[in-house]
Amino acid sequence: MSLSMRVGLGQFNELTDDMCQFIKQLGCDDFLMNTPNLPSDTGFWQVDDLAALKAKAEEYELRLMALENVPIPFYLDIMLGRDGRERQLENMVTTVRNMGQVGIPILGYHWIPASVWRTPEPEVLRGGAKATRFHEAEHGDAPLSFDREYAAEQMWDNYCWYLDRILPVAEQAGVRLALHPDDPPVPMLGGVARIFGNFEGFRRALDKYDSPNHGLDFCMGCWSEMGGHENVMKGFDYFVPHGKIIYIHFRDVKGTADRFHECFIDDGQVDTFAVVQRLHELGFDGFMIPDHVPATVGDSPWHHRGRAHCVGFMQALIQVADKLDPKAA
Amino acid sequence: MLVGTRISPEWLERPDDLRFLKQVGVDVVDITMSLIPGYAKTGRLSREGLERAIGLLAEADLRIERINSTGDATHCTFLGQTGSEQELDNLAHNAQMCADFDLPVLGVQCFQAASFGHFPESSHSWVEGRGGYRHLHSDLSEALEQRPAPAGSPTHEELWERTVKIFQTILPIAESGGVLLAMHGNDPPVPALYGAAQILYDFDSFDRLFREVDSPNMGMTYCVGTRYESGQDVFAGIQRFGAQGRIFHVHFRNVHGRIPVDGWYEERAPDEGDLSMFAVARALRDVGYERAIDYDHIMKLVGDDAGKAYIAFCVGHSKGILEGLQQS
Repeated sequence: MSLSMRVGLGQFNELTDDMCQFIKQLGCDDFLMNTPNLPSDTGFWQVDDLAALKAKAEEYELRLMALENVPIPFYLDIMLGRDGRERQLENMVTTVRNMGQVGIPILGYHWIPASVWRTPEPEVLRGGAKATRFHEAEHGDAPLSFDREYAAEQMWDNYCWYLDRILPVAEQAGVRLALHPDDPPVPMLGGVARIFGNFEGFRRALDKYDSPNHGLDFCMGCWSEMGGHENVMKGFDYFVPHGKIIYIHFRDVKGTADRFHECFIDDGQVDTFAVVQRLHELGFDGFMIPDHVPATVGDSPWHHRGRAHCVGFMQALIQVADKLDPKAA
Repeated sequence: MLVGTRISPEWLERPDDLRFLKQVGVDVVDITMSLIPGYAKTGRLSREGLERAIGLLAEADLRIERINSTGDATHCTFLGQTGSEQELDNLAHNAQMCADFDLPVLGVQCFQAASFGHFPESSHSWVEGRGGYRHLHSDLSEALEQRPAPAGSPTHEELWERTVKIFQTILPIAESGGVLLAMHGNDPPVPALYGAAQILYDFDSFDRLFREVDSPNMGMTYCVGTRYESGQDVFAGIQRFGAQGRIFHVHFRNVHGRIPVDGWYEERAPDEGDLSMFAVARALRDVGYERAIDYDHIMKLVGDDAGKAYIAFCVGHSKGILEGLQQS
């Protein structure tokens, strides 16, 4: 069955009955989980645990499209090129093979050992809603995240060491690896170079590891941080025709990589409708999910209301783009 | 166009609920007069009560777009009972209050047969939609059966006479005060329920109202839901009444099923009814409509006892449609 561009949900780590129902109620059939709460003391995810997630999804006629992010300790030594990476690689191979065996088609990953950074005090939005912000100047005296500095070329070397080994496994297992940008996409934080913070970085990675099983988890928020609407369009214009956009985080910010805050999806710097229209024209047939959403008063920790708002907005954009398509008229 | 929403009475006393609306992107609200302290007892809007409500909304950066008179405010008038004079006096007072406080749109209810007598409620049931969300299913087959009018129910012509009288009472105040009078029409949109007459259920009946009470301040709440349920062409109606400048408020909800065709209808989430809500918004834009679209009825999602996730979904959906509309 061929699918078209559509909205899903994600970024939770526990698959409850209520969550399955909520996804369906918002008109979605696709979801992903971020770092699911699965037993992880072995350093990899086991077939039975993955199969249970898949079975739960099927019970609700949902598609479990992706698992985004293994716990960082699963591959920290790999990212930093430290002793122990051989063992972690073996475990990652096991995880990828197990996902393939169970039929979970996408593994989202990132190359950010020092994690996502934000500046403590939130930005206050309309009506007093709160969103995260980042102001690099306020992190000038941040200590090293690890034992020493890790320069960009070393991070590239580590990345290549891993991809050389994991991508063939993913190909064999029928799993697609989807790379998420560095967030925030500044050159270095905590002494660790952030190599996926601009268009060239992604092109380099995808040219070198050019495979149907390798592409992007296109975080529109990060691409907006890197260069606003034009950068987002540039990314889609280049990577969609190459078949490299595996799925999309549909969020936005105001500002630039070194100083931005997150915002409501209808109030950012990206022309979201132009984006959806372009994706439609380019024939993007994957799914997109709300990612971070601002905190509205009284919302749940996972932001059910904020995500419902974003899903409604995204669905409307897709419906309008479909309706305006001269080919469909 | 603006995104509007109705608010529940208790929300006025819950600043967080109002802030929530602003946060998700609501611009204006639709309230019933019963929210205003003192109204329930006297049927009259007090200056202090209105000031307070407007102030509470302003704290959340919201304002009233439409204020609705309640059905009981015209009960005696529609039934031809004593007490009508007091009702009309109250209505005139309330219209003046709207003018004094610059409330743009005043909704006055027509006679709803369901408010008369004690009809069985078997026509309404809650059914489960996608993922088990509960929405209203209304089967009117029994309610629409031919039967004698219930004792004491007003006739068709009595209703016209009384409806016109109500509007003639408040029209001069509305005209001089710059208030727009909006008639919503019958819900459900049928000429009779269990034999009791209703008069505002189709395009021709709205036309008659606008002929009999002819003024630029006289118009309608174009309820997309009931217009569709009636079986008439929603888009033709927008063109017809939009061209006349009669659309002052829009209930922007989606429906599955039409009464004349199916005998039933279901109220649905905005993206899964029979209508393309984008096409509806575009038709409204094309006739120059610039006021509020209000997603109207609230349904509940799982774990969403307050209906807030559903509201957020609808507001997001409306904003997405308006975003696309700007570029089409």
